Amino acid sequence: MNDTKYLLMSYVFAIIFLVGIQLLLPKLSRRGLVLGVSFPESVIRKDVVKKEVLGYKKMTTIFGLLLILIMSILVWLFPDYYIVHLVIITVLTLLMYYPVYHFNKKLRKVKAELGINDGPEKVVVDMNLSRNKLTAFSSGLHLYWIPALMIMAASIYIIGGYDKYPSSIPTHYNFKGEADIFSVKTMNGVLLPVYLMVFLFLTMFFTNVVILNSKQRLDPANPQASLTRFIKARKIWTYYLVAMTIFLYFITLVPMVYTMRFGITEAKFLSPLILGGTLIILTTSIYIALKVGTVGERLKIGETKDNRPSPAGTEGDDKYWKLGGLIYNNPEDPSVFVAKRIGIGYTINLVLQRAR
Amino acid sequence: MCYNTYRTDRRGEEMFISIDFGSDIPIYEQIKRQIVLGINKGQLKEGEVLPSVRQLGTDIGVNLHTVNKAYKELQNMGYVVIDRRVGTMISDNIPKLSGIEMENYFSEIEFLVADWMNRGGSKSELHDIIEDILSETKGS
Repeated sequence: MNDTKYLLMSYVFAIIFLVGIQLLLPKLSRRGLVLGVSFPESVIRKDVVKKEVLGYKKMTTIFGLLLILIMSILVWLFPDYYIVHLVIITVLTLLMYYPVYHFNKKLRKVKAELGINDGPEKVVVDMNLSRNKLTAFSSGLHLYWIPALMIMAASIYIIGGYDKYPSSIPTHYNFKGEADIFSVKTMNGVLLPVYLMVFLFLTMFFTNVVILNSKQRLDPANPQASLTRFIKARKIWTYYLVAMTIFLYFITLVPMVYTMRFGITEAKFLSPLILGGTLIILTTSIYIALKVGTVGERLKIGETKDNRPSPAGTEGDDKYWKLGGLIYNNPEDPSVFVAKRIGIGYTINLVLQRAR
Repeated sequence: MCYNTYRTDRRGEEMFISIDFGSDIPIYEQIKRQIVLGINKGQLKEGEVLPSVRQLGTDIGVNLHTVNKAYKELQNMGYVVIDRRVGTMISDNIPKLSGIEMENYFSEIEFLVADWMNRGGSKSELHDIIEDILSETKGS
């Protein structure tokens, strides 16, 4: 019985977290975009648009409550079918995307009714930045030497101290922090934390290169001001990603090496460390997204709210965004990665995957 | 030949290219014209390397062929040289106008002035416009 309660609680917690993110989506997305549809800044504050955003939030909340209800019944009736739970929760979670799709469609209609035409009227590109994009930001990429050297140091420590490892090393811990699986000591086994960290390192580095190489987004009405922001945002994201790589080192590699090396059978700190670490990464990411924005459109430098450059509002490529702004499909655009329209981050230009 | 390294602290030296997707002028023509303007205003210097075709296409959001066409036309006009290793760069020896080209220019300007006057433009306005343009250009 206790286990069932615990299971249900963790499902409910996950659903609430998910709904929370979904509710934050309009705020987390780039400025000038409402659920994936671009609007001029002045129109976003109008009631017709606000009404749809409110409708989206209501529908998302109702979906979330329904999801909790279905999961409660399911867990109560069939408490032991974990796989079934997971499959159903995944399918239902995908359904959480429906409100985005629905209101994206409605907002497109609103846009058409207001007579705002789609299609980018103007694009402004800074030639210097276009030419030297990566070299311009390479100072930030050099910082990756720090985590790289740290990983090398860890490898030396592990290989050098291989003899001192216990013959049976703990490789898995339960939620309470008790070691429940042990493995025979092998070189690859003790180096596992390093392999994992190298993978994380490469993921972060690759993400960073994608960000630095992605399309310029400048406000044609105010290119100079938005260029300053664009450059600053790129730097902030780079520093942030480097910091996150170093942080990941301390919450994955360090505790793994420590528990293996000294054969720790009880590590109460593990769960709080991983949970707390994940929470820290999520909150700081959201914080930076809100303060800086993907292309620096939220940075406050000098200007008041009204004449801040708005690079997103001027891009009108609505028609290239399918499935409620989830998929980008523009055969004319050679970009592989483009900044997402809903939420934070980047997505792939699908047409390239098919054509090349 | 010089490689201009991009410094983020420089001000007023940015060379912006502005593309109007709603315009009747084709996009490759817009890119070409703006590069010619940039050279004339001194924003693009001799020997300066232009962005790669892929990067500029990515940033503007247009097909690579469009950028390539603009660069090819600039090459034919003698504005840029395409080096296989360095890329496309501004020529340090832009060819002077030939006699035939001079004649073409004359008839082109003649046509523009006639069109301007026919549609009710005034002589003094035209004077002012040309003065404005000339004041921003470099050269004697």
